[in-house]
This record gives sequence, C-alpha cells and structure tokens, in this order.
Amino acid sequence: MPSSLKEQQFLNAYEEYSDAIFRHCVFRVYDREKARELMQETFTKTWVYLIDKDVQHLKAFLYKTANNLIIDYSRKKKEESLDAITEQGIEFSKDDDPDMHDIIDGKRAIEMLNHLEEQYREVIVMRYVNGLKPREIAEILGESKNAISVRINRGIKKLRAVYETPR
Amino acid sequence: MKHPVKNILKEAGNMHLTEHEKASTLIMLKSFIADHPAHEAVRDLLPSRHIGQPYGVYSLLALPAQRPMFVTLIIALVLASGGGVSYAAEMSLPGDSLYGIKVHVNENVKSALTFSAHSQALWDAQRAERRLKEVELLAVEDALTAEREADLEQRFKMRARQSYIEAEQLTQNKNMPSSAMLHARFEARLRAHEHILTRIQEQQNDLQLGQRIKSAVQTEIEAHTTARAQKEIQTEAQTQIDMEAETKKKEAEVKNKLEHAEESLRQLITKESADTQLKINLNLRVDAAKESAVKANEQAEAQQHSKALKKLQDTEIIIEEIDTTIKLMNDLGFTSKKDQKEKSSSKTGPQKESASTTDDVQSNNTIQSDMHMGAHTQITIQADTNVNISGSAASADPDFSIQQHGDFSAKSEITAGHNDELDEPHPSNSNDSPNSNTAIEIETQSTATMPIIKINQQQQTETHIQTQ
Repeated sequence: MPSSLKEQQFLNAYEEYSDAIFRHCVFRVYDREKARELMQETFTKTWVYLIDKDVQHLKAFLYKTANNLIIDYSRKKKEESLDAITEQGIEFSKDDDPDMHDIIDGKRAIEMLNHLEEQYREVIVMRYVNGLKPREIAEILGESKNAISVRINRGIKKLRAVYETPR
Repeated sequence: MKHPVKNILKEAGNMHLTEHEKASTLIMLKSFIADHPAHEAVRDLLPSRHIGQPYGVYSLLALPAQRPMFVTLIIALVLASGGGVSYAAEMSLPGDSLYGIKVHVNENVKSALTFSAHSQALWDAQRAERRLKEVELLAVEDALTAEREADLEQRFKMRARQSYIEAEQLTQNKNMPSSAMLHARFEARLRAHEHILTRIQEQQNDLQLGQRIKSAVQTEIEAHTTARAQKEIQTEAQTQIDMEAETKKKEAEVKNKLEHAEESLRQLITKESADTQLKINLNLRVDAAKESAVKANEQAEAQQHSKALKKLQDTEIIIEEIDTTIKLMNDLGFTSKKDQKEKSSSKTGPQKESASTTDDVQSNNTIQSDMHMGAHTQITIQADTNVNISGSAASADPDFSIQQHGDFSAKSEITAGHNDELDEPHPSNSNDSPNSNTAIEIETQSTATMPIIKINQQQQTETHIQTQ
C-alpha cells in the first residue's frame, strides 16, 4: 500500500487526470500510441519532480509537463503532412453524404485542427477537448487570461473558415 | 452552442483511455514510484514551506478567538524561535504546557494546509492516533487521570469519526479502491493500538485503565472492517483488468514487506528487555502473515486473482499491524523496564543457560510482580488446559476452532511446575515432564491463536535465543 501522503496525492491525480491528459495528447500529436506514451511520460516526469519538491497545483503542473513533451515531440516530427496522418489510419472523406455526418465530423475536426497553427491548436484542444477554463489555460501556458481568450476566439474563427470552405 | 465548430470538437472528443490502458500505466507508475521513493519530511511538522510564508502568520489564523495572556506569550515564543517551540511541542502530552501548541497550533496548521479529501482523511486518522498514543504514554507513566482520559477519549472519537467519514466519502469520487485501502489501513493501525492498550492494562494490573478509550477503538475497528467488506464487494463487481500482472506485482511487494517486518522483529527479539508478551504475539502474527501469503499464492496459481489480491491485502494489513506494534514498542520504550530488580537474580548461578532461563523467567516475573505487587518468583498456574482461540482466519491450526477477527481475549493457563526447577540448566528441563516448562500465564489476545503446544515450543525457542 502506498505509504506516503505525496504518493497518495499523486496516484489520486493519476486517477483523475490520466484520461484528460491522454486526450490532450491525442489531439495534438494525432497518434494514439504516441499519446499514451506521452501521457505516461508526463506522469513519470511529474513524479520525479515530486521526489524532492512540492507542487501546489498538480493539475496545472501535469498539463504544463504534457505540453512541453508535446512540443518537444512535434519539433522532432517537424513536417506533419496530411499524408503521414492518413497513413496512421485517419482518413478524410468528402462529406457529401448527410448520413455520414457524425463519423465525418470527428475526423473533420481532426483535419481542421491540423490546419491551425500550433498556438491556436493548443488552446482550442485545451478548451474544447479537455474542458479547461481560460483561467486554467492561462496558468498552464503562463500567459494572461485575456491573451488566451483572444487566441481562443481567433482560433475558432479560423476553424470556422476552414469548416465553411466548400470542398 | 453558437456555431457548429465547437459542437464538432466536443463530439470528436470521444477518444478515451480504455480501462485496460489506464490500469496498465498505473501498474507501471506504481513500480516506478517504488523504485524512486519520495523524500518525506522528517516529521509531520509545519508545512510552511508549501506556502512560502512564515509560520507565524498561520499560527495566528489557526488559534481560537479567546486567548489568555500566556498563550499569547507562547505564540510570541514560537514566532521568535522560528518554529523550534512547535517542534518541541510535538512530543508534549496533556498536562505539559506546550500541549496546547501541539493540538491547537501544529495540528490546525497542518489541517488548514491539507488539500485533497484523501490526505485529509489520512491526516485526521493521524490526529486520532496521536490521541491514542498520548493515552498510552500517560498510562505507562502512571499519569492517566480520569479527567484526561475523558478528554482524550472525546478528541479521539471526534477525529476517528471524522476520518471514517472522509474515508467513506471517497466512494463518491469514484475512488473506491482507495476507500477500501484507507479503511483497511486505519483498521490495522487501530488494532495495533488495541494490543498495546490491552498490554498496558495487564502490566498495570488495571483492566479499567483506558478501558473506555479501548472500547472506542474497538468500535472504530469494527466500523472500518464492515466498511471495507462493503467496498470490497463493490470493487469486485468491477472490471478485471490484467489481474495477473497486478497480482504478481503485489506478491513481490508483500514478500518484501514481510521480509522487512521479519527483520525488524529479529532486531527486536535481540533486545532482551523488550516485552516478552508482545514478542510472542508478534511472532504469531508473523506466522499468520506467512500463511496468508502462502494462501494468496495458491489462489494466484489457481487463477483466482481477485481472491489472491484480497488475500494479499489481508497479509499487508497484518504486516502493517506488526510494523506499527514494533514501532510503538520502541517509541513507548515498551520494555519490562519496570522493576528490573534483582529479585530472582540471586538464584542465577554462573551457568549461562540457567541465567538465560531465568532471564526469560525474570522478564515474565516482572510482569507478574507488577500484577501482584510482590517480590516473589512463583508462577501461579492452574490445571486448566482449555484454550479459547480467537483469531485471524489466516493462521489456522486445524485442531482448534477459529473465529473471525475476534474481539475477545481469553486466558489460558498451563500447568507448570515449581520454581526450584527453574534453576536447573535448561536442556535437562526441556522434555521431562509438563513441569519442566517455564510456563507463564498466557493471554490470548484478539488476534492470536494460541495452541498450547505451540506455546511451549515458543518458550524454548525464545530461551534459546537468549542463551546465545
């Protein structure tokens, strides 16, 4: 049985946030397996930090760590061409068929996200996939709440533009 | 939603971790943690470093509104000393002047800074335990007045209830495994205290000493046992995920802990002055733990993983009980320290063996003499060989009936012979007659099984060790 307080808190955080962190990674790197790895690494890195330091807000810390890992990873995989994504099994189809609407929307969303620049994708995913409040996002990214709100709105506008582009 | 884009994103957010993936990462994390343990703070002191503010600010916030002058003085002292006073206060007992700081300042500060429900539950349980320890320390020093006992009993009950409720509430946060674990853990620690309290009662020959608190402890133990059983039923109904790996991991963990506990016990045994009664008890608990582990292994082999895991958890509880008992024994200086008078030493010849025997007897005699307030080396026995067993299901001896985690203690006494024979060198004593054993009054406590035969052997083993 875990014996220390810290350990308990850490494991509780895992219970609570592992899924959210995972999803955050998925929507940034478009690779489920990789997302799992990144999630795992997020937690191990956090634990290493916790060994001799304390963390005030574990949730924010986890997101920060995940974010950094994602950025490092993206730098390695600089060119993220649509081709690469297709190879991983995410296909894009024309949404002519209204019955296919639901399935397509999900994939569409991913495709659309990909059109965004990293900075917008970051906040959009955090806001709408992870359900974080702008205040929280601001803390994670170390920016002001206003800047974040602005960026989110701009991101949405851009997405909308992509969405409404006739295919 | 104003525009469909946001909607779409929400729909898309259906990628989730599967239970299996979540669990397997968890297993990996746990093993990682085991390999890289955290550095804990030395004592559960003021976590002022968390906030980065001087301790002083919090002491003011935590204090009750009305304070007599001298308390204000104490606060000033604390501030001036930079926390040194509060550190000293940690060891204080009711009656000491610094006790107020310990309870009202230190503990409240820590409460104020504990965040999650889980840590809160742990901390409240700790506070409850502190009250128990205070009772124990006072009782051992013969300073437990009715007034103090009542006060501590009340505080203990309050905190214990608190921690119970918090452990229960973890269910609502879908943290069911943690909830059961908490209940189990509290149960284990409370049991250890129960042993110690019982022992103190015996040593002081006063079965009323701390009896009210002991009953309160027993009530709590029962509550936790029930709650844990409930949780376990609920948990078992949930998914079986990669149980095998989990079981293997757990087995290794438990094996480790058991070895560690055995080592501690070995060290304790070499201390001649340590209380024999408790040593015997501990040995039996170790056996119980081993048997439990073996059973768990069998179940794992038979692919009954959830059963095995539960068994392993039971084993862990026993081990935690053992560890806590040993720790308490050390902390309280729980030796037969009272009156190591040379009562029976005069009978000791230069013979090592008989000396050791006498030592053994002496330590037991010491207990006796406490009880009879006399200075004689006689051991009173009756020819009553009935043994009541109550005990953990784990250490089952098929010849004896077993009951569940018992809550009664019974006395079983054994025939023994006259003292004169105690002088004789031990080996010649060993197998002659029932008289030859340095039998003592044995009490079966609530978690020990005490077959008569086993005890005799135990005796000899003990004596042998002392001979070395």
